[in-house]
Amino acid sequence: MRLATFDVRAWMAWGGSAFLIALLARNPFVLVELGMVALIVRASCVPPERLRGIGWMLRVAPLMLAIGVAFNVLTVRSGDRILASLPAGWPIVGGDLTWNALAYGVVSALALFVLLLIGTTLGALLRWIDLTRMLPQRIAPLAVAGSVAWVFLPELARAFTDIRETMQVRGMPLRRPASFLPLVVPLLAQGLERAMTTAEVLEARGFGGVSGARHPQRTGGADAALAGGLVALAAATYDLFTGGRIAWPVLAAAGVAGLTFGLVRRPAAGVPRTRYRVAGWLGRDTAVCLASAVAAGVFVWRWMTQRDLLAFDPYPRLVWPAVDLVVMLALPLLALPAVIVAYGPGEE
Amino acid sequence: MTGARHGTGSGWRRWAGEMRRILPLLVACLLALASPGVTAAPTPTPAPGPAPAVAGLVISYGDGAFSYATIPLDGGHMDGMALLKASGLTVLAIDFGGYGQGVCKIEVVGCDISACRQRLCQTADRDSPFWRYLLAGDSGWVMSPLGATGMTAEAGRVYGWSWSGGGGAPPDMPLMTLDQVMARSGFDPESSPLHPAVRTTGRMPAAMVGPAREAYLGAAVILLVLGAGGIAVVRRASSRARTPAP
Repeated sequence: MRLATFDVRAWMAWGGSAFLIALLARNPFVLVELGMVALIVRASCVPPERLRGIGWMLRVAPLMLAIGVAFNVLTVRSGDRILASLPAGWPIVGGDLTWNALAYGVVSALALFVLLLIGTTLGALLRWIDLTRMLPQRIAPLAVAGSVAWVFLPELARAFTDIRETMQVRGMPLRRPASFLPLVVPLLAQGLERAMTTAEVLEARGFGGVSGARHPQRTGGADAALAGGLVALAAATYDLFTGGRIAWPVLAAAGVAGLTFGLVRRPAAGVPRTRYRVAGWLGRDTAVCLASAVAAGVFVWRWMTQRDLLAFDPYPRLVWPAVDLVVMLALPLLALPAVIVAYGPGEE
Repeated sequence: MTGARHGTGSGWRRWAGEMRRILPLLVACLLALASPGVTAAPTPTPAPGPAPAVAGLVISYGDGAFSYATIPLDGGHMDGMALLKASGLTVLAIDFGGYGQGVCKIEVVGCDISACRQRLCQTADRDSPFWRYLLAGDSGWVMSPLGATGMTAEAGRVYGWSWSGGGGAPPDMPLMTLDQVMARSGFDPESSPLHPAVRTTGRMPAAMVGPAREAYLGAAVILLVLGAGGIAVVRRASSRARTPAP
């Protein structure tokens, strides 16, 4: 029996909620709980063949901690708990170093670590080909072109290694920066050759082709929705950054709705693609989406009404962080995928 | 021609005599014009009478609450930021390198460090508040042309801080003389040595205090249950993944 898997859209909803909470919260209790949830989901849901250890993250964590703490301690001189004092004559670093700044730096590093944990978990859970298939057909060529371009990076690194070894066995060791110059031309030539090969392969498979029937449907409504959505989004952005005197959330929602409608309804110019494996949307996907939405919704509601409870501001007085039990009770909903994998029906 | 020359010489002597009389005044005017204080900003009016070696502070928290402080200068050099910190009020300020320090929060009014680092508490809206440093001028409060770190506090003058936005001086900031500030802050000029005095009027937002012990207990229980449940879930998922398909 295989473990239960989830639709890529369900994972996107989970990731969106987790990222939103991690980006907005600076409360150590919330961050610790969110990190625990991400670890549980990572250990339960990521297939073993794609599960990389978190050893490298644990090695990076002290570095993030050191940078966050050092930057904060050396640039903020406020607080009621003096840790040490450097001579005031020292440029930039002179003055009082406070426990308040140290505490804030630790919480900032914790937030960074949790964000990294969520990002790597989501990266291991998502199958990028499924994500590309979820896109509207109109922007699918763009996604394919982007993914092909992205693949060229490891290809380039491999070509660099090949050429360097070839030069070394011919008695041309690469020691000084100047000795790398002869490597540039073959690297460029190989890159161009690979690009031409990929273009031919894509062309042979009909990528970017135009079907014989040239848009029999009318597209005026979809085009108008696209244009209107873009204008509304631009207006919302302008309004948001200039003080929000107009209702920018309404404009943003209208913009997203217009763009979505236009992208979905407008027929694609390319040849229709045939999919042999259609992804199914199951009840557990709905459950994960609902749980993520509830967790994010509760957090946003509390963030808008009780923001002090979700922040940690150790200045000017270092006090213990606040606790919002409502949010802490809602956050475990994000661990629902792990519970379903562990106790729900598997896949045959 | 001689008469004319004679007449000219007499006029010259008269002019020279006039010049001799007004020369000190001219020199004084030129020196005053050349001093940076006149070109940089309107000079705050010193308090009448014998100026004590103190400076006054008026701090407006933007919601009808004010702090009045009187700070002895003791003859030492003190910039605007040091003056504010010497008042005894709780100040959160961060370094901006060569620009000096920026004030993020006075007492509980202001913004946190991250918002302060971005735009000194201001949002994109020009009316959104931030801590502004003000100088008391003849016609009212004026914005300081330099930051508080770059301005030297002078004895006998009154300085202001206002949590407000927009252009120009805030309208709700009361213009006061040093004597009025000293009276409102409860400063005792007879004491020796002089001690800073500060008094706050109006209602300030409540300071954030730590939550009750029950809340921490609840948080600990939630984290423990999540941890224990998480271990159980992970072990169960791992054992299911290892179970071979029938």
